[in-house]
Amino acid sequence: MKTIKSISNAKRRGRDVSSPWLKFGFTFCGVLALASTGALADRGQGSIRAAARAEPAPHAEARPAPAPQAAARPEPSRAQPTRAQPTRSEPPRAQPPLAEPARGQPARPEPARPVPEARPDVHAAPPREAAPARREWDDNDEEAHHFGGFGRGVPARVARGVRVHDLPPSHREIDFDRHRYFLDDVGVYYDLEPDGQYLVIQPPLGVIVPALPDGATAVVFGPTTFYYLDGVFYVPQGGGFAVVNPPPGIVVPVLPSGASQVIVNGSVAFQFNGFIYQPSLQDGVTVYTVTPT
Amino acid sequence: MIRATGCVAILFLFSTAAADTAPTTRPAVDPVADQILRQCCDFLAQTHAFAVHAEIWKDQVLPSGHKIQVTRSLDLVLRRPDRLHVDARAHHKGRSIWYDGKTLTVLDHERNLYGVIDAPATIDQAVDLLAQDYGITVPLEDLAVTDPYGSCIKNVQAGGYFGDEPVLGVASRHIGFSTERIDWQMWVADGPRPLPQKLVINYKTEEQTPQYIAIFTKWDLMDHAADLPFQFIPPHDSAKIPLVPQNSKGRP
Repeated sequence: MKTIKSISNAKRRGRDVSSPWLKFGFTFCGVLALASTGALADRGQGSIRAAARAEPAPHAEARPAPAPQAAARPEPSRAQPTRAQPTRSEPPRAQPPLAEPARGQPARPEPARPVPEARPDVHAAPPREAAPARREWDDNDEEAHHFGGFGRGVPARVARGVRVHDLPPSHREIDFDRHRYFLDDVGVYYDLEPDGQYLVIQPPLGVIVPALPDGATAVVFGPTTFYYLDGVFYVPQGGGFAVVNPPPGIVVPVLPSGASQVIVNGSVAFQFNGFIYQPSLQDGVTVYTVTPT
Repeated sequence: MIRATGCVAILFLFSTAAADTAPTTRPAVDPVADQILRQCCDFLAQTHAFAVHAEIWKDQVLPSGHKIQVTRSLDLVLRRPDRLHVDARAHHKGRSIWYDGKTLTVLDHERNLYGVIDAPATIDQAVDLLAQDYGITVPLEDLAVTDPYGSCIKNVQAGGYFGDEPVLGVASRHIGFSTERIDWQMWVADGPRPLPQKLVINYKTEEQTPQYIAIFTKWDLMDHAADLPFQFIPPHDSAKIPLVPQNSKGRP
């Protein structure tokens, strides 16, 4: 306080206060600030009043715990030594530990694959960080959720059903049920087509990935923490993450790309991959409650 | 009478001497800063209707730990005591709130979805309802409430006046206040219309202490404002969805 008064008095007396921030009188509050880092609720930016609402109970609105931190995603070559480097001249199909679809041979259809049961391992620690769901009422925060790699910029997401000539430079191979899929950093799955192109697909249930893709959001539902990204739900399983169906009633922050609008009981909703995403406004932002069709 | 006067004089001299030798007790809030804030808030409170535009810069801490700054344009229109419209935009996205004294509507521009709830009778009650029951903080609500001074000064632990500075060419008086959770500064126009020109809120208890910066322009003080800006007209192809209270969110 003395600092504030001193600066104020000095200015009124016409003295030079050349570095007001260094002398800014609020420094006495810095100790409090450091001691209670993270105590402010996520909501409420842009309002002095909102902070005042929160102040009577400074420890009542603890920031939700971020998803468990784990080791960073391993480099593809180190994580899977048998995997060839993803270069355009040497497509991944050149090193098949599994039954690999060769060009010209249809990789699909493979109907009625048995889907291994993916049981949520609620005790397993996720091996990498997932984005916490920080949302302001006037935020348009999907961009931020996908802003995982600062140095790499904003990754582009490719819509399901699109065919591409080449895989992204950074991708990993996922072997599942005697078939090879490809997964890029932002959670897009690819399947090799007979013509040598890659088709963007919804991953089959039961696929296990060693690490969550960038932008996956932790969604707690009952005792289980699910991880959600663009219509794909993951649960920790066996040191990795298994693709599972969403439990009925789970609430997700973002609509899957490619969801189609439908009318359910007279209300607008969205349909994707056999599930209805019913929108509602919670905490001022639009979220979607997922139920089977 | 003389005796009584003598006693008072002795007491005065004693207290003066004590004041010279004892440490000076300074008020926590500089009276000048308090006066500037009070003038600004009283002026706002006495304004029946106004519109203002604000350019917003606010820090956002990414999950990766990087701090970026996002921008918003915000327009606020109000007519006391029961009309309010807030329009927050970022490119073609954004959200808006309409309060017409009877209903509160929140529109998600990007998805073209809106929710409506019954509203209480005043702006104060409406913004409190949104905050407490629906988890929505109306940005810059401090300008809209009936008692801006009481709202701003609540929980203030210290405050100071930092001199006169221009904000976009408007001569302004720079004041700052501190609470347990935030430090905030305001630049108030110097003159017959002591309106806020700039606001900075520092969320010092959050990781990386993000800041919220608002520059106010286009102040339009009105004796009367029409009803139209406060009436929600559903945009083309928009759809109504539930506005869910915080205590009834879908949970297993």
